[in-house]
Amino acid sequence: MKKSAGAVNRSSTKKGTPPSATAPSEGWYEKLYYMLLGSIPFSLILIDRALRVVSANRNFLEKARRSEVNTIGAPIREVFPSAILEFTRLEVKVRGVFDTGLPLHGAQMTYRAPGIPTRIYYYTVVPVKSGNVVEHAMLVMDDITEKVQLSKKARMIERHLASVVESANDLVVSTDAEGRIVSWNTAAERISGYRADEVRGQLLGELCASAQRDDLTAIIRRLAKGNAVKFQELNLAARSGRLVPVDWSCSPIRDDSGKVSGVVAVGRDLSERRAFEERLYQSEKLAALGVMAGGIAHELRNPLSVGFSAAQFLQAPSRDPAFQQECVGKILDGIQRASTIIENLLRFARPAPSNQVESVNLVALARETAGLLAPRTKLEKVKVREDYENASVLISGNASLLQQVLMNLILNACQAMPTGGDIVIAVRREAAEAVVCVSDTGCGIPTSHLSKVFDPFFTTQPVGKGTGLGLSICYTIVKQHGGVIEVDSEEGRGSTLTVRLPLADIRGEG
Amino acid sequence: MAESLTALVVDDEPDVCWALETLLLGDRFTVVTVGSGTEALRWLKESEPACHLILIDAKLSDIEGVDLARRIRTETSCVAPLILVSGYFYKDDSLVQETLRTGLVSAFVAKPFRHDEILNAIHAVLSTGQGSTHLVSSPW
Repeated sequence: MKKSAGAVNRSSTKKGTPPSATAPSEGWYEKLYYMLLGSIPFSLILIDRALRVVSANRNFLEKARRSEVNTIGAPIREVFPSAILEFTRLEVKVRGVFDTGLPLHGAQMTYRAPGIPTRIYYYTVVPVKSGNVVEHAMLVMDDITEKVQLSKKARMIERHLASVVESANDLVVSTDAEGRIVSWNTAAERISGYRADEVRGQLLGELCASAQRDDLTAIIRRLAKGNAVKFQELNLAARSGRLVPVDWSCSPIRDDSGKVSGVVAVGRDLSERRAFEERLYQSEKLAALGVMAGGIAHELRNPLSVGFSAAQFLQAPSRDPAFQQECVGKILDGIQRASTIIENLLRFARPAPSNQVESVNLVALARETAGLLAPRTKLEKVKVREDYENASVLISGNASLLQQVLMNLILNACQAMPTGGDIVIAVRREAAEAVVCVSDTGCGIPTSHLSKVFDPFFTTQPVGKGTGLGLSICYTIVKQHGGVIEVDSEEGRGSTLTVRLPLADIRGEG
Repeated sequence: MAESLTALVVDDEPDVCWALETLLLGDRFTVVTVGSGTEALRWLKESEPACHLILIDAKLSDIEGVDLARRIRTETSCVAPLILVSGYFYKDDSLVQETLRTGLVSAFVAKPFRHDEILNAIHAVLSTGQGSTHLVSSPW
């Protein structure tokens, strides 16, 4: 066995006659041995009892950047760098294998030598026996450098991702395919008041407001089936009992085979935004009231004026009791009219909590809003036609916010018609939707502006005339109600704004 | 006032027409009421009546009161003094001041009005003829 692996390799490239299956020639097994030695992806060294290298395969020579000449026959003390020998106590270990006849398993060796890149090996020492005597020891070194580096990298990425999730301001929750919580980040702990160890294993749906539990469970079930799910706003029931509005965006986690193994839910806490929106709605409402004030003043002064005149007629002596009755009637009518105007105004001006959800009849709401704006539309020489197919179109929502939408749409239509025109307000049912249209015969919207009309602060009105928030607030309120708002316009002909809202449950229709 | 004078009242609010008509009838006017600017122009053009006074609401449903005043002067031969009556404008609004300054209207009366004050304004306008300006502000 004085041949080197390289020499054997060379002989193996000869195209000799293939060995017969029954009687392989004398040197055939040896050839096979060296061929295997030369081609396997391990570094192999055969060591004799004097701890000298008997043979080394090509893999070892290449990795260690050594030649056969200075390796074969050399003591392992000269073949391996002394630092490695000391650290691994390789000589002691090899000697142990010769003494005990037992293989040595599983140890790691970092091979650093001048001029070559550091490699990490997993090595074993196997006794090679002849009868009961261990004649040689085979050192098998598996290069695990890439594996170690990959797992290091994987751990780094894992830590990086974990810190992203932990430092996120949004709730980041993962569940198994049944919706049981697997991970719960710091933001989720802060917002919900529940620690990760308290909720792990619980159904995420159980942490929702009781009325919406089934919604989230259904979302997770749809995701688990691999169906797409759009964002959904659901309230999270915090430990304090507070309901936190959360905008959830869920996506499935798939395993290597593509099967859904869980769900990631990222949730944004909308509390602050809701509070801000409420303030914004209120200030926009007050701005709308300012716009309406002129019309309201005019509308109030007419009945006041009639009543005032009638009272003055009554002051003068009159012998006609029928005329006196007429005067009293005018006074009573005037007071009634004035107080109706004030009542509507107050009802609109009152701030309403935006989370209050009730059954709302859109037809009644449209009627009331048209009535409230009648003084304004009349002043602007705008004729309003109301077109209601049904007496009642019920949706579930917030009446005060929805009225604000109608109000803004009608006021916008008025603004588009500075010299007067027609407005049609229509409410109807279409499949599972309630549809509200407000059309005008005004100036229309240039095509280039169509995409911007719902942007906050977009306005074509001069400074001080419009805030540019009206339609963007409509958009937000409609979206909050699970609906859509669309604009259709032709320059010079007029515009139609259409709001589509999901109809209330049929059971609620009465 | 030996002979009865004719007053035209233009207001889209029937009850306001009623109040002004009652008041002016009591002051021995002959009163014609119309509910819109278009009707007022038609009446003045078609019948070319002897009209001595016109009371115009500033916010009509079809034509702005001030525009109606202009059109009466340009489209009809009527030279009767005009009085603007309004619950929308204030006497110190620039539009009101402007129409009074140019003499387009002879007086401005704010709603609601005291009967003695509006009658005083009417009499003053009729006695001095065109050009004089009178303001009757609301008691509030």
